[in-house]
Formats: sequence, structure tokens, C-alpha cells
Amino acid sequence: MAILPIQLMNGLFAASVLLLVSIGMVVIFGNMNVVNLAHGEFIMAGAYTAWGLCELGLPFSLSVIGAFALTAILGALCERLVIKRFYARLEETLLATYAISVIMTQIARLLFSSMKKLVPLPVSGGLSIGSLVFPAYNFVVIAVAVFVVLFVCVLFYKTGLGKKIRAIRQNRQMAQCLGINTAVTDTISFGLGCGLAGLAGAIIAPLKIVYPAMGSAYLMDSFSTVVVGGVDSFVGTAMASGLISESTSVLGGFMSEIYAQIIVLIGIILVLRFRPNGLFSKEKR
Amino acid sequence: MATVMKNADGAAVGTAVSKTGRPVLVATDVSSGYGSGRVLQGVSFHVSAGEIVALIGRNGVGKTTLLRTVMALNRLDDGEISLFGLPLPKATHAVSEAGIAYVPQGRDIFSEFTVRENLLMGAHASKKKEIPAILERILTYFPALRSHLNRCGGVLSGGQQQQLAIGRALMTTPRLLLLDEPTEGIQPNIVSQIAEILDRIRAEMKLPIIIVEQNLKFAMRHADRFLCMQKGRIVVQGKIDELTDAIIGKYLKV
Repeated sequence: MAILPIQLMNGLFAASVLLLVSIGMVVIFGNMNVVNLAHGEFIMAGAYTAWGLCELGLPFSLSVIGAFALTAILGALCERLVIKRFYARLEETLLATYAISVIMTQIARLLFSSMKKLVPLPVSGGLSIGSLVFPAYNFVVIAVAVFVVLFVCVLFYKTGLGKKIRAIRQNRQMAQCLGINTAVTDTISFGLGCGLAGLAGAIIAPLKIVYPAMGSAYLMDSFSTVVVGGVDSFVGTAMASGLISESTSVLGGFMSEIYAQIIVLIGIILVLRFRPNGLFSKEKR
Repeated sequence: MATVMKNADGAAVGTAVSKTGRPVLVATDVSSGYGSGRVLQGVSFHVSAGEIVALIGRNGVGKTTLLRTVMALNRLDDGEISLFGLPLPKATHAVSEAGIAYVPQGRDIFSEFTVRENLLMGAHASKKKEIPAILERILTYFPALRSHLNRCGGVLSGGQQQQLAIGRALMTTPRLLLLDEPTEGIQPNIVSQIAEILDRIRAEMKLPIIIVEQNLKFAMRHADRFLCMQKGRIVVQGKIDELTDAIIGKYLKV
């Protein structure tokens, strides 16, 4: 059973990555009911921004902030120019966000070619827990994931802006009738969701290879995590990230990773069959 | 005497401004609808300072559409609406900022928010230091809400939700209040409470109110004037004591 602590720790790390790449989708899908098919491309844009800023000599921490800011602005622009025309029209938003994803991938190809970029690990070495040693950067990723969840929870549940976003989610027209400028709030929400995707891209950049199509790998993972957790629940998404990643990791210690993933995916399908609103969504009256 | 206004084609239209006071809201030849269909057809009316105007008529004649058009929730196809002499903005949030509060049919409270959060959402544009005083004043009108401040709005009874919806609207410190069927689906003792609250609001705040109401007894008790609608037009209007059985029989009885 010596393998179990390692698998649990690896699962926690994988859960943190999954949570980071999913949290922006909760903001956009959960609050605006827009399935952003360009979510992965904002992760890619964040990774490229981090790479670019690191190349310019900026410290990694500033590169992450830069990636958040740039992708947030990019997302806000996309919302203003494209998305806002298609709210409450599922097919159109799917098509529009797919178009944005293709355009962003092609622009990345034009700007950076298909050459793969590497972002150096900002923290090297390892940290030991008992007799086990884990890469130090894994702990940075876990800490950032915890910070991001706390940040969005505070933002959405304790600030005026967050309450306005939640009010709009519950009843857009009534929010307008109370004087809330929903157009501005929508732009901020979409920008925030994209910014969080960009931040995730920057954080995972040192762990992966940065290339134009890297984002597509995260789209389905984040979508399934958000749906399992409950589309409007940050805590639910955190729990779902943990559940999915720990299950995959622990099962992967005892069998082929492919079988582990198949079992977890079957579990996800069963969850959606019996809890279509997600495992952690509240019952509404 | 109640006035039936007709245009050159014999169709009824709105009347001129009454002499009860300075007009707060003036709507002139307002046409509006949904999609390509027109519901309101050349509606003109006004609301004066401090008065309660009952908007009455059978189902489907355009009463709710009229309130929604004032709030810019429905597009204004034709005509003008002004508040204190200034044209109303075209965006709903700006209409609210201009001073009109709306309590829709069905209340539309934020069911996931607590009662306190619902109320505070109404005051989101107010200065922070003023909010506690506004909240306290509103709670004096709705003491029943005070003990439920930390409960979710979604678990309140219909009557409590109605009080919450009116309270939330008042939190915006409006200059005109629009109430759409405030007694619908509410048990009689709560209707009496809402009636008392309206009396207090009227006496203390001097707030002009447009109230859409199927409950004629309620409307006749509270309103100063009535506007009777039929097929998207105002066909009769007058002081509330001029609302005769003949008018009721002709325009309101199904």
C-alpha cells in the first residue's frame, strides 16, 4: 500500500490543475449560460503570454498576472464584439465560441508557428512529506488553485460585483429593473472567466509544452468537471476536480491508466444520469 | 365624471392631464408589443405626484405590457414616455436609475439570495453609508421581513415574497412605483397587510404608484384614479369613485 500516498498526492496535484483549468468555465457557463468552446484557447493564450513575458525577462509571478490580465481583456473584447449578440441562443453561442477558438488557434500559429515553446519551472527541487519527495512546483500549483477558489468565492459571495453577477444569473430582467447594468456586468464576467482560463494556462505552462492546439485537450476535461460539480458551484467544481482526479490517480496505481480513465468516465456518465444538475448543486424551489 | 376619449375614427384614446398635480410620468401615443405583434396602440396617460392610479381591464388587454414598456423591458415602437419632463432612457437599468421601480407579476425575487441580500440588491446604487438607514426604513414598513432577514428568499411564502418584492423596489428610493397584480395568489389576511403598507407608503412617502389590479375592491380602496384598458388602448379613465357598475360591466366583466 506504499503506493497509495503517492497516488493520493499525485491526485491532489492533478485535481488542482483540473480545478484551475475549470474555474473560468464555471464563471462563464454557470453564470452566463454560455458554453465557451474557446475556453481551451484562452488557456493557450495564457500559456503563450506567460512564455512571452518570461522570455522578456519578467519573473514568473508577474507573467502569471500578465497572462490573467491579457486574457481577461481579450475575453472582454470577444464578449463586446461577438458573444453579447447571442445570449440565450445556445446554438449561436456554440458556433460563435467555436469560431473564436479556431481564430485564436490560427493566430497563435501565425504568430508563433507550430514550434513548441517551453516555460522554465519557476521553482525547482522537491519537497518531502515523510519519506516521499514531490516536485516543489506541484505545491505551488496546489496553493494557487486553493487561492483561486477562495478568490472567486469571496468575489462572488462577498462583493457587490459578485452579487450582481449572481442576481443576473437568477433573473436578468429583474436585475435590470433594480438598476444593474447587465451589459457591463456580462462583459466583466466573461472577461473574468477568460482571465481565469489564461491564469490556468500560465500556471500549467511550465509543466507542459506550449503550442497552438494545446487548449483543446482541456476543454472536455473542464466541461465534464463543471457539469459533474454543478455548473454554478465553485465548491462543487473543486469537489468534482478532486473526485475525478483522485479516482483516476488512485485507480491508475492499481491498473492501466487507460482503464482508470474509462472507469472514471463511466462514473461521470452515471452521475449525469442520476444527478443531471451535478453532484453538488443545490436543490431549488 | 369618467371620460371616454375617442379619436376621429371613433376609437378610444387617453385623456389630457388631470388637475390633481404636477405630472410625474406622461405617456403620449405609446405603441408597443412583442415581436411583430402590437399590443399597445396609441396609449396616452399621465400620473401626477402622490397619486395612485389603478390600471384595470380584462386579461390580455395590455396592462402588463404597458408597465413593461415604461420599464423599457418591451421596446417602444411609437410615442413618448417622460418622467418629470425628461424622456425615459431606453435601457431598463437606466429607467430604474431615473427613479422608476417595478414589482412584476409573480414577484421575481432572487430565490437564492437571503431576504437581506434581496433588499440590499435594491440599494446597490445607493451610497454605502446611507444603506443601513434605507434598510431600516423599509423594514418599518415590512416588520414581517425583519425576522426572516437571513432566510433564503425562495423559501418564503407567497405573501412574504410579495412584501419582499415591494420592499426591494422601495430600497431603490424610487420616484414612481409600478405594481403588477400585488394581490394575485395572496391569502386575504396578507392582502390586508399589503393594503395597510400601501396606505402608509402613500401617507408617508407621497410616492406615486401605478397599480395593475384584477382585485377591484382593492383597487377601489386605494387608487385615486383608474385607467381602464381594452384591446391595447385606454378606453375610459377618471377618478376612482367614477368607476361605475356600467363601466365594470362593459369593460371588466368576462
